Amino acid sequence: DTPAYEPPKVKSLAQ
Amino acid sequence: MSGEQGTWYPCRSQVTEWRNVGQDTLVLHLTLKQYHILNHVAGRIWSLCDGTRSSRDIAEELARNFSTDADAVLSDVTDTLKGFGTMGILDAGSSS
Repeated sequence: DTPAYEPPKVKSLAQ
Repeated sequence: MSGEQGTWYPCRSQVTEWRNVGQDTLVLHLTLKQYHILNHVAGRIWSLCDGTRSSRDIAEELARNFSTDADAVLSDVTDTLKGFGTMGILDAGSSS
């Protein structure tokens, strides 16, 4: 199934 | 900003590589050597940034995918696209 809607989240990492 | 006068069609940058990891999407900026991990909603927004859809189009597609209201998700889409722009993972994109 399609997962439920959640607020979009982004985690960023430098190499 | 000229982008505010027309409609912006965000497009994934050519200096990125990405792949799905479970529900998340891992985006690598090839020149900045930065990794970005997007949850399933942000990843769906990312996948829709193909240069043919405006933020409104993306919100409508997202609403269709998640059975919710486009107006309710539009601000999330706009904020996420701004974030993508700040990270440098979107091309300047075309405006009409």
